[in-house]
This record gives sequence, C-alpha cells and structure tokens, in this order.
Amino acid sequence: MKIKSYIYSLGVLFTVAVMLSSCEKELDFHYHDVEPQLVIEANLTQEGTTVLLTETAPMGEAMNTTPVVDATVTLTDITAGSTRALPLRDDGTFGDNIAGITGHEYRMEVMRGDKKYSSVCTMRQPTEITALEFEWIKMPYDYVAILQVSLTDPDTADDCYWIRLLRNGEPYMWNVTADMYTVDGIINHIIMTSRKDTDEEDEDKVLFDGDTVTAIVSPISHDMFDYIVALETDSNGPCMWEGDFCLGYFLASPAATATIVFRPDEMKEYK
Amino acid sequence: MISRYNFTICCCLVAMTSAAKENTDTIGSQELQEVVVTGQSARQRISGARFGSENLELTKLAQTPQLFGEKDIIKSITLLPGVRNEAEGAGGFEVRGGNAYQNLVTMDGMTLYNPSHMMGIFSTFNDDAMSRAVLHKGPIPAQLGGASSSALETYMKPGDMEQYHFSGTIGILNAKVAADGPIVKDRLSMSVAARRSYVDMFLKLIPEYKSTVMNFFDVNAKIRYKADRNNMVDVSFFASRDNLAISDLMAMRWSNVAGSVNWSSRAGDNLHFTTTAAATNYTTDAHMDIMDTSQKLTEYIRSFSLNERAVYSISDNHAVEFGARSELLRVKSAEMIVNDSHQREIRSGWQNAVWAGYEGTLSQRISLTAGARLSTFTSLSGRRFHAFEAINEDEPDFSSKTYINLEPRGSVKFNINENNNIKAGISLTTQNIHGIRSTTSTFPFDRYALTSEGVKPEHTVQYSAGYAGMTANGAWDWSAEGYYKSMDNIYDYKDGMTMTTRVNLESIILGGKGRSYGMELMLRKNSGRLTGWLSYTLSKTETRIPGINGGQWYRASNDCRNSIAAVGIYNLNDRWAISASWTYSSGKPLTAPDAKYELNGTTCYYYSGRNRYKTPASHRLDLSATYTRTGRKFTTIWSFGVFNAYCHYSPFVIYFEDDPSKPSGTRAVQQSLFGIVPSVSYTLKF
Repeated sequence: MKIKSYIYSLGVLFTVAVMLSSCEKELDFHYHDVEPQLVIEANLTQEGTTVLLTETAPMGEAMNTTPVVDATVTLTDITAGSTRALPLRDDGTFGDNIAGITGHEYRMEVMRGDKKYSSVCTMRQPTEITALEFEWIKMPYDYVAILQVSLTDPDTADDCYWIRLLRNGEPYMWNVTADMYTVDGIINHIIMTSRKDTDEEDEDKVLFDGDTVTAIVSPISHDMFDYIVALETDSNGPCMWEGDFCLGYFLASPAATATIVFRPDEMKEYK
Repeated sequence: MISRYNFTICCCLVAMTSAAKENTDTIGSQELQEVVVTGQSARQRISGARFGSENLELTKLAQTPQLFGEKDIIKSITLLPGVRNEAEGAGGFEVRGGNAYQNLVTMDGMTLYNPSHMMGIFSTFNDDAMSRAVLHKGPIPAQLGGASSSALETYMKPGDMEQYHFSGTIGILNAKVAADGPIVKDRLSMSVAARRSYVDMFLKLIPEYKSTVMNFFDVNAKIRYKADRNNMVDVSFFASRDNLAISDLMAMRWSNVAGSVNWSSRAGDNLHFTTTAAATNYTTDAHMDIMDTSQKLTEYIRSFSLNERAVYSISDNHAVEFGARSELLRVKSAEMIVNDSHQREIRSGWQNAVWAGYEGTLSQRISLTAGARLSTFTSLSGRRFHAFEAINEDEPDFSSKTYINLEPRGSVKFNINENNNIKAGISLTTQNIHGIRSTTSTFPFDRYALTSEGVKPEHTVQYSAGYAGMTANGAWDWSAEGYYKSMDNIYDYKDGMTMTTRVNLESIILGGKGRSYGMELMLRKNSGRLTGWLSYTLSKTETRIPGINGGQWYRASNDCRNSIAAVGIYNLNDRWAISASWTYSSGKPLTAPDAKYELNGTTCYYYSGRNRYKTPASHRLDLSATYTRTGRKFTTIWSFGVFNAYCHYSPFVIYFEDDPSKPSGTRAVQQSLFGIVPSVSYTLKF
C-alpha cells in the first residue's frame, strides 16, 4: 500500500509539474520603422454617418488616437444619384445625421493631399436581437461566462454579422457570425467572456457583478466578414478601400442593440 | 556493426547488396539464424554508394535523452545534420528546407500521415515495435515517390520464430507492452506492441480536470509466414488514436489506421521480388456542442496501393531493379457541419509509377546509383470520385487532368582512397498531396489539397555534393555536404485566409516557388566508452508566391539559419550509461506587426509583410541515465532523464497585446511549452 501511495503521489506530482513548467515572459522586441498608414473607419447606420480618420502608430509608442482632419470626405448614394460632403465635427470626425436607406448602394470617398481612397457598400437589411443570455460553463481551469447572442436572420443567402460588445459603454470584444449557424431563422452565437475567478482573469476580459454588457449587431458582407476574421489572424486582411493603400473599412449597416447586466450569482450553469 | 539483442537473434539478408554464392561447403547444412543489423559502422556509413541515405542506428538514437523519457525516432533524427524539429513540441521533421508535409513516412510499406501524438509532443513510432529505419534526405531512391523533400522508411520487428519474448515499460505519461514469438515454430511468428498514455487518469484526481479526456494509444502488429525458403509473407497492422476532450462540450480526435501485406519471393539466388498491398485511413474529428451551437469539422485521407518491386543482382558489384506502383487516393479536405448547415469537399486521384534503377561499383574508385521514375497523376472527375457542398461558394473545377512526370535520380561516389571519398547527386521528385499548414508547425487538422486542374504537382530538384572520411580504425568519421533545392508549385494560404474560411480549398491558397540551400557538417566518435556526434547545419530557405509579400522572395516559415546538435553517450560500466544532447536552432521567421491602430476602440495591428521578423533562438540541454540489469531470466532497465536541464524557455508562440502599464501600451509576449521536465521509466523484459 505504501509503495502504491508513493507511486500515486509521484504520478500526480510529475503530471502537475510538467503542466506547470511552461512559461510566459515579456520579450524585448525590436520593431521595424514604417511610414504611418492612414486608417479610415467609416460607418453609415440608421442614425447617420460617422467617419474617423487616424494614422497608425509605431509599436514602441503610445497609440495615436488623434483624428486626421486635413481631408475631404464625400458620401454618394449611388442608387439615388446624390452626393454630399461630410462636414468636420468638433470631435474630429466627419459625418452627418442623414440615415442610410436599406438596399441603397453607397460610395465613400476620402481625399487627402494627392491620395484618394474609395469604398462601396450596400446598406444591409436590419436584424433584431431577440435575446441575450449569460450562462456558466465548466472548463478544466475554471467556470467561464458564456454570452449567447440570439439574432434574426432573413431568408436570404450569404448574410454575415458583426457582433460588437461594450462593457460599461467601452469597447470590450467583437466576434463575427454567419447564416450557416441559422436554425429556424435565428442565429444563436456564443462568446466566451470572463472566468469566475476574477483575480485570475485579464483586465481586458474580466466582468464584475453589475457590469453592463451591450451587444451591437450589424449585418455585414462576406468581404467584411473575411476582413474582420483576418484582423484576428496576423493579417491586414483584404484591402477594403480602392485607390491608394489605407487600412480600415466602410460599413453601411443598421445596427441592432441590446443590453444585459452581468449577475454572476443569478446565472445558471450549462450542463 | 551487429549487436545481440537481449532476447532474440534474427537474420535478414539484404538482397540488393549481396549476391548469394554457390555453397560448396559440405559442412554448411545448418541454417543460419537471423541477425538484425541494428547499427552501421563508419565504413558502411561513408562507403555507401547511395548519397544522402542513412540507415538509422535505432539503438544509438534510443540512447539519446528524450522528452518524458519517451524514445522517439522522429525527435532523435532531428539530431542529425540537415534534419530539424519543426518547433518545440511539434511532431514533424524538416529536411533540407522542406516542411514536414514534404516527407514520405512509411511503415512496412504503409504511408502514414501526421504520425504524431498529443499535438506533436510524441511521434506514433513505438521503438519496441521497430526493427530498422532508413532516412533518405539526398536523392530519394527511384522506388520511392510521392514526397518532394525526404523519405523515412521504417520497418516493424517481426516475431522471433524460436522463442517468446515479453517486455513492459511504465513511464511518466504512458505504459507499453510488447510480445513476440512463434505461432508455428520456424514457420509462423507474431509480434505485437501497444502503448497507451494515462495522464488523464492522474488528471481525474484533480477536481478541476475531472472531466478532461487526454489520452492516446497505438498498436503495432505483425505476422510473418515463411512458406518456404524462397517465399515469405508479412502482414502488418498499425493503429494510432489521440483523444482530447472537455466533457461533452468539445473534443478533438485524430487517428491513423493502416495495414499492409508484403510478399517477398526469390527466384533463384539473384532475383528477388517484393509485392506490397497497403491501405491507410487517416481521419480527424473536432466538434463543439455548447448551448444552442453545434459545430463539427472532419477530414480524411484514404489511400490504397499496390507496389511491385524486382531486384536482380547481376553480380557482387552490380544490381538493377524495376518496379511499378498504383495508388488510389481519396481526400476529404474538410467537412464542416454547423447546426443545420453542411459543407464538404472531397477529391480523388489515381497515381501510378514505373521505375528502373541501377546500383553498382564501376571500378575500384567509382560507384554509381542511377534511376528514373516515371509517374502519372490523374485527378478523377466521375461523380463517385468527388463531392462538394457549400454555402455561397462556387463549385470548384473537378474536371479530369493527367500529369506525367519524369523523375531522374542518381548519385556517384569517387573514392579518393579507402578512407575518403567525394559524392554528388541529383534528384527530381513530384508530390501530389499538398499539406497546407495553418501555422508554422503541422497540426492534425491541417487541410490537404490534391493535385487537380487548378493545383499543380509540386516538383523539387535537388543537387547535392559532399565529402566523407574516416580514420583507418573507424574510431572517427566525418562528412561535409552541400545542397541546393528548387521547388515549384508549393502552396500556402492567401493573406487573411484560414483553414475554415472557405470549403473550396483551392480558392484560398496560392501557389509559387521555393528554394533552399545549405551546408551540413558532421563529426562522429564511434569507439570507446564515450561515443557521439557533433552536427552543424547552415541553411537558407525562401518562398516566392505571387499575391504574398508583393510577389517578392521572403523567408520561408521553416527557414533556419544555423542548427547545432551535440550528442554524447558514455558507458560507465556494464550497467550504467549516461547521455547528453545539446541542441541549438536560430530564430524562426515570424510575422509580427510593424504598427498599430484602433478600430472600434480595439487595438489592431498593421503587418508590412510576412515573416519579416525572427523569434529568439531555441536551445536546450537534455540529460539521461540508464541502469540496465541483465539476469538469467529477466532484464530490468531504469531510465532517468531531465529534459531542458538548464531550463531555457524556447519560443513556442509569440503574440502582442495591450499593456496599460507600459508607456507604449503594448508588449510582446513569448509563450514556451516546456521548462525543466524530469522523467523516469521502468522496463522489464523476459
């Protein structure tokens, strides 16, 4: 019995030792210098247009969030045949409050110095968030809160969706889904959020009791779907703008919004 | 070098290099017992006419220190010059700038795909079951095809025709048993070896990991039937399976199941035939079932082949061979089932080859191997040969297309004197199954493209030259080789594409060229208490694919400038042996961001190109000690080991993330797989 206990203890000890022997450390990384690239983030929704121009920042410096304002931005409703310039606002963005029209094709054009950038997008059909639900799921290392976002999917082909989550009004995480997940006209998309042991969770992922999580769901094209997936896989993704090279996207899509409060004690466990 | 096993002596005459002489000795009526060649003398190593082929010394390789004390031929051959591990913990090996999917790996004529366990931490080769292995990294012999970089031929141990033998080993992570012996003495024998991990049994004792499944097993079995002195039939079977799961939520499984029948036949003393029928089924299965979402991804590769090889020994110094092969391939590159949606892509192909070869000594100074392989590949277009279902994707081109390829191969050796020679070789190879890697290492769920109208066969031309020498007594031998390799029609994912972006694999990959060149140096000590070797490889590998990196040449993902391996094995006495190995590899190419920006308040990264950075170098020291006690009936072996003895953390994954505590707001993080890993195992043989 004594030898058996010894072997058993040894086995557990070695197993745990091996699993704990991996390591994570910060690297002193030397980045290449590159010219700043223009980033165009253009959104047309049912509430109007917002275009934010920024530039990339070197990896070794703080993020550059200063808006670029020395540019001209125009929006053309190709379907209606009208063009308008988007005025510069006080917050450094370009835009107005004219809503996008479902089914209309739009062209966004930005001119900065001698460089020109344009992108075309069709205003997608709206979706509706039918439910937001948190449940605990048991993983080997801890319980993790799974957020299920349920949304309607029309009976058309090649519909994709961008799901952006805000935590207490601030950007939290994003995900994409597509109509291959549709069952009876509803997509149920699950997102892994915070683990139960908040001391062990990263600051950018942790959720505390009472936190408000807002889901913003925007129908997107398949190209936009590929672009967002590529951003998560060490790639710039397909270029979403024609003309001179820049980063970013133009999205014409009505956003559906829903909010849920994170109550860890009231959440049930998924079995 | 011929060595005695503890419990068996078998004899296997190699038909290619020895011609039977008419026996006029009246005393010689006793049948020679079988002897298995387990090693290779310095003389054999340097004097072999076939350039770049090496009979692997399995017993010696088995003495090198290994992770978890688990003897692993794949890990061991990465200590040889020109051969590298893909990455820390990865299962594949890379030869002269090729990637792991460009190697042909066979066992008794069966082709094995992704032969690794636990995501590559171990290979599927159980050393208890293995008899011998040959690695061809230079000109691949004409009888082998289907791989453009190298060929690793392995052979299972046949059962002893006289006596039964058993062994059992308990290690840190797995247990092994092996048995072999006669079913009918001198006529029919069997051997079987099995291995199963049990780390999940320990995990179940830890409450947090109670519902975790993490195990693997493999089984090797072989039956040998000696019909008469001229005919022998081997039936071999191999199965391996890996299971990783978290209760019913998610699971990943992959397996190789293969079988072969080898019929060896002699017609007279000089003519030898080998007929091989083989089949392989490699399958993968990953699924997730959480709340209202159910997803499943499966793939397979199935091959059925018939191979005929004839070797004719013209004389002691000359031999020719001829052969033919036919193989049917069926590849499901992916089947994705998401809730009610179903997508899949299946392709089939038929490849055939005939070859002829010559090996011989032309004079006292010159030896030659020369051969050619004529291969064809036809992508099959009939309805039963392909399938395609997808959501919002155009059907790919399944039309029939036949490619014909002539693959000359040869090498020449010139003896400067009896202890020194120079060699040169050339080979052209073709490959029709293209493994597309999702990361810089092979992954069980990587997708495979089959040659078709749109995907061309991969061609590789390799030129190599070298010098080999030894001391008169064979105590030391050394070699220096250089090579240049040019590759056409190598494939990689387009920027931003991953294995699940589209079902139609051809729509998300691009084809281009590759080139690799390098120099390999090797010094071996073969005698005395201390033996071992020192190897160094200097190499460069590049890729150029239109559509990636602006169509310019860029560092291939498997490029490694410098590799060093130093191995020492010291026999303290009859019972104790200690060994050490130190390995070093230059940093690997890394795609890292050059700048950052925000989208929707989330940090995103800008990449100016692929593989423009380098990871830190990898190096480690491994130690092992073996205590062997041989009794009359039993032999016991205790093996102790320390992997990564000075605990250097080599890079496994490097990623970039926000860090508010830093002025730049960003940090680069390196994850390493292994720190210092001790091991112990106990083996009993009788």
